[in-house]
Amino acid sequence: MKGLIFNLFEEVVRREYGDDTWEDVLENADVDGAYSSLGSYPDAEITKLISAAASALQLEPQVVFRRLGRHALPLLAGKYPQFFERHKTTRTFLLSLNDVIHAEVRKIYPGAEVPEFDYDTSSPDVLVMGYASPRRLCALAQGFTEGAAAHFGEEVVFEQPQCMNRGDQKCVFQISFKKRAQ
Amino acid sequence: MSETTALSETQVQRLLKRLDRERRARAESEAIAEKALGDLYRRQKDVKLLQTIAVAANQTSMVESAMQFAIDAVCSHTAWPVGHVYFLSEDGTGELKTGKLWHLEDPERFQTFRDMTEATRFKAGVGLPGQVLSSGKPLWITDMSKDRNLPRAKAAEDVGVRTAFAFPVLIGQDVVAVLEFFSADPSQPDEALLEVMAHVGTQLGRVIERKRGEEALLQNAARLERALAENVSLYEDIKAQKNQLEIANKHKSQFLANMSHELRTPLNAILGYTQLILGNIYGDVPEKISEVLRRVGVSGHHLLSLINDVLDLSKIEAGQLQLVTKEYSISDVVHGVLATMDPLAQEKHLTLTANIPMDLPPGRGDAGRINQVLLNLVGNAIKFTDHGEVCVEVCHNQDCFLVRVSDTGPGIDPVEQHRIFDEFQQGETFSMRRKGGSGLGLTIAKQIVMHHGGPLWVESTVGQGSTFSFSLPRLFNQSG
Repeated sequence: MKGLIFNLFEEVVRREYGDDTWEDVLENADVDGAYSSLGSYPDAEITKLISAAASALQLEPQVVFRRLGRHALPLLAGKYPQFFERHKTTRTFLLSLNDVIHAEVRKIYPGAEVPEFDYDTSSPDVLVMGYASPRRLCALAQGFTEGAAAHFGEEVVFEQPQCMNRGDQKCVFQISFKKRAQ
Repeated sequence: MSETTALSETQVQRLLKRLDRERRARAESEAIAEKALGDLYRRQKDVKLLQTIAVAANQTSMVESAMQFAIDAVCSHTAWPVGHVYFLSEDGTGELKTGKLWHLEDPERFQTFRDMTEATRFKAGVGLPGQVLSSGKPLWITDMSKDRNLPRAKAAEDVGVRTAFAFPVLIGQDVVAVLEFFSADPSQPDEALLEVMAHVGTQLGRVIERKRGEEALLQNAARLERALAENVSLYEDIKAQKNQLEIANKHKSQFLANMSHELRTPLNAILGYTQLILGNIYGDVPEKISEVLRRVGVSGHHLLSLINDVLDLSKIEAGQLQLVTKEYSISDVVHGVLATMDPLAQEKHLTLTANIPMDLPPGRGDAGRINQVLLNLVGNAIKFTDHGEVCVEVCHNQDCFLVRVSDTGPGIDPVEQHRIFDEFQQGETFSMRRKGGSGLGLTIAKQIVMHHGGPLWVESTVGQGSTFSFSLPRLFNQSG
């Protein structure tokens, strides 16, 4: 897992739950805690951190991942505005993940293991995305999607008829949007 | 502000910890950045090496010097002490043999290794170079001493080299040479370097390809040159033969001209005496004998005309035909010929007619020779025509007379029409054969007309007759 995700998680926890919470999480997770955004760290460390945060916040780990995604997205939009500026809707933004965003991520962070999504765009109203990663971070993807919808001023309905965490081959997201009333 | 917010001991501890984490994260970031920079620098050096070798390779078609340059450059780049080049042997065994091209940092130290290497040939799959030969890909051996399948493992150990890598020189998919390098310090495979070496191999392949192209061109050029030389000498031979033939031909014509003249003298005597005997100068000749004598006379005259033809032709061929030009009347010439030939025509019950305009202007040329041409054409027409008529027509314009002799004879087929003007070409297949004659008449006639500057030709339809025509410049100018 790239150090960037650890940094985002730290920043989200500090912002949303205070510095002390992060220190507690670090202590409880029993991890080193020094993360460079350029470095790579074992996946187990993020799992430990999420679990520790889940205990501290009395939430399910999946919910913590989802919140991480939702709150990290504005941070990413601030850090990498070029990936957001060219889109007006969440839908086109999500469709650029494989070919543009993750392609650029590989350039900046050599060795980054980014997921590859498959898309079904046959419906103009519902975007169907398939996700199959051994990390099973569909909750993080949901959080990022919700964060992106907030960024583009849309309301999102995120349904997941299939999920690897429920024993399916892959996760399937059915995502529909509507413009938020001003 | 007398009071500051006091930090609890726990808070201080946490801040210190956090500071420590941030420091370590920064140190790690710096290390990562430094490594990336180092990688970038090495990558740049690799590319520069490739560039250097590519430039050198492009500038030479000398395979050996390109290879030597490459192993020197690679050794200098890697700081490895030994570099060596194998070439695919050209004896069809498909083995690699030493190119005797080395980069040796310390030649004395590596002498035994060198000797052993040069004494060994590598089949595909055998040893370091053999494996590169069969795979067509670069190969890195981290520790040669651990691979007892290498024929030179012992020799390498003896001189203290441990790590080796080799890469192929490729033309297309074919390995044509292998470059190998050895280091005393064990080191792990450098993938980036191997990738660059693969490119170097391709560049070097181009040198060999170019060299082969040049050699093929040179061979072609040499072949062409040889063929050209052969052609030139053939041409010289033919030219010499042609000269000899021309000389021989001249001699022949000269001989014939002389001989014909020599032959005529005794023949004239024979004819003269025959005539005298027939004139009863030597007493009455019995009828039986006079009949024989007349045949002697006819045969003698025939022989004389043959000799005259031969004489004419040899004069023409020897370039000795002199036209005696003076003013003449074409009308008189035609009428003279008709008068001469009329008895022959009457003998065969042929009508001999002339179609000559009244107002023909005078001409200038050799009237005697023109007479000869016309005699020949009219004589032939009568000779070959059994029924009907022979007609002579003359017409003219400002510059030319056109004379046509038509008959109602058997005609001449198109193939023969081309041949009848060739000397002695009365021809084996020619139906005229049975009619006698030297076969020179038409040739002579044509030559005479040509000497006047005009053509002579035939038009004929088998079964309907023939028309021989010639045209003469009205005023023949000797120089033109």
